[in-house]
Amino acid sequence: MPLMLLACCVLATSASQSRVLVLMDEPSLAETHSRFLGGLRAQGHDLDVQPIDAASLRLVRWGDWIYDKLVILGGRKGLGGALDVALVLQFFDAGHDVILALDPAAGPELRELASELGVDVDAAEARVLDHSAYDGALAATAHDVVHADVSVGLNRHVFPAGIHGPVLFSGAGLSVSPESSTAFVALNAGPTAYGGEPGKAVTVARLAGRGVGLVALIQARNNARAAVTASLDLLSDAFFSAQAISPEGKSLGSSANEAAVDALARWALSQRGVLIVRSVSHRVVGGEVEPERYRVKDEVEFSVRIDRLTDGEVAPYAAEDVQVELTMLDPHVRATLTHDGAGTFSARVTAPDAYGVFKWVLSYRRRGLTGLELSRTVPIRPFAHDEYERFIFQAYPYYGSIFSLMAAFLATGAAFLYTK
Amino acid sequence: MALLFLHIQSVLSVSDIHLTVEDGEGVVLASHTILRGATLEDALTLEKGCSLKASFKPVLGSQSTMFLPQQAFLRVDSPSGTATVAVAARPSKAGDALIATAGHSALAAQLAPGPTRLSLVLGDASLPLGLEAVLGTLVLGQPAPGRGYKAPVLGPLPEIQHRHRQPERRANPLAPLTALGGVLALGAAFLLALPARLGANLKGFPAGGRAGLAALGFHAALAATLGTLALFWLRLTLLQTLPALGALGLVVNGTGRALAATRAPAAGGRKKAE
Repeated sequence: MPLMLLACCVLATSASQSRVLVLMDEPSLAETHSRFLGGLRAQGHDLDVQPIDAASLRLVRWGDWIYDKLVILGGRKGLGGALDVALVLQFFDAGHDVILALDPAAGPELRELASELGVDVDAAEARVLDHSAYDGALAATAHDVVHADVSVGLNRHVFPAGIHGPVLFSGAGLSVSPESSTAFVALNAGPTAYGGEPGKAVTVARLAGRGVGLVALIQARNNARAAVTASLDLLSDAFFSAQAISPEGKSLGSSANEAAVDALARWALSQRGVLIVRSVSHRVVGGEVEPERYRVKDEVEFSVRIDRLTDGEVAPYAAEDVQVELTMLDPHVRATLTHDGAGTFSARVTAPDAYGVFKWVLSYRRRGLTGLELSRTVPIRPFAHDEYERFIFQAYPYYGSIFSLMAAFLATGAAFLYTK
Repeated sequence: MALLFLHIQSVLSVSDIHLTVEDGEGVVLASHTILRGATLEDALTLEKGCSLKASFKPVLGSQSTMFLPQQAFLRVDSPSGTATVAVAARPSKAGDALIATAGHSALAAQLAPGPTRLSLVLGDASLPLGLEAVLGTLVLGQPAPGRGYKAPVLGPLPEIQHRHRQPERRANPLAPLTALGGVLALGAAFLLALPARLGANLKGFPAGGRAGLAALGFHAALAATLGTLALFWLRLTLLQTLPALGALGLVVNGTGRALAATRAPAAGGRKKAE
């Protein structure tokens, strides 16, 4: 039975087994960002902290990847050792996750890496400024520590519990093409924010309002994930423990940076929002399971079992928008699968009355979830000669004429031979 | 659409705001003046090829001289607020106002056609608070083909139901029934006419003995041959039918010869008599 199962889902990896290479622009970042690194360890990752420009840096040895994930806290220094942008992209293309946190004044190499991931970082001298939603304690004069907009547009797969509290940000803005199907902005600036040089008037509004991205996430077609931000302060201990103050001087409570960064890191390192396909099957209703071929107009059923991984727990996935297509060059049938609440999605369709080599194709891509690309090949044959309508009412005169001819032949023969 | 005028407490304010819509050749198609603290009563429409120009004068407190803030944007937001296009305002040639010009093509590249929210955003690092003023509704016209905003399709697609071929139209059942009746009637009429009109009879059927057996066998085998053909049409395969036909053919041949032999002397006697 010709089986062509193309499952591009990411299987759950035991968090305790993943080796993470953490590259730091300055050794002091290990102290100023200790809570961020502690959070990664608490998620079960085994961290290997190295200077970003170390001569001994390697990602691959004898054709095998040494690490599972990569975290870069980058600044002006470029990648050292055997690392360069091309190798990091190869690492990403091989299905490994990357977190890229840049200092706003980061060098061209790291900016190029961000750009290759689909995220454009604002100019080196630009910062995210907001004269109406800045932090009254940390940015009273420059207005360059802003409060992120957490009121609308948070992806529920990245932030399942939402964000309860202000998120402080100081750095450069990001832009992602609105037409991108892989990259999206997970955390935006407020409607009055913009990207500009502190203290200088803006003559061209490159980034403005909710178009200013603070954290961008990438879900690649091979289900590798990346997170990009142009702020090291977002992940710093100082911002984790800061008390947010409004421009009017009113206390807004503790910052929610730690919770937000934890959620972003969990998503970026494939610990939540991961879909797992357990089984795929198709059958003729009332007939055998996964037959060699269907017949035209057969009633057929496709079913798939999908689970979802969230923070180490696997649960049945439930959604109303999973679709399957029966395709031969173009989709002949597209049906929405219904689920039974236990993760099994199924749909019944009538095989089209066109014969050839068809494929069941399930292509499911949603923001914040890993993509599913499954296909099963199943030929559809036409009716056999004995499967058509046997007797046609309109042909009864012909049937009658043949039998009456037979009777007349016998009678005529007998009459001819025996008439006296 | 009536929208609230959102005015964050700020020392910044603006004079009356003048909005004009111009076509590609600079001809003014529409002109509105928004008084301090007001919004547009009716939605403003911006069609393909046109541009929107906003002219205003920011002032500080009760001063009359123009203040140049670091941020002076004309902002257009989608209804959901998820997409934004902003245009920075620049000082006019006379230096007495700030002018922001937004072209339809630049807006349509990032915003879907339809109603959008038009706002003015001002701010400066030297001031404690900026100013955000909603001006009203701007309706974006359809963009040129192939140039509009295209959101990625990351949602369910329209369902496709295969349209099966319709069965061929058949004749009204009355016609074949009538034809069948005619055919059967003709057959019956022929069978009745044979004895009635043509004088056919079976008086010459052999009474018994070898001739009788041969005659019975011959006609039975003929009937069986026709029956086998009918069975082949209904149920049998060729491989099942051919041997049966072969066997029946042998019977027809044998019994036919025997029957012909029994009738030959009578035929020879008639010839001699002639």
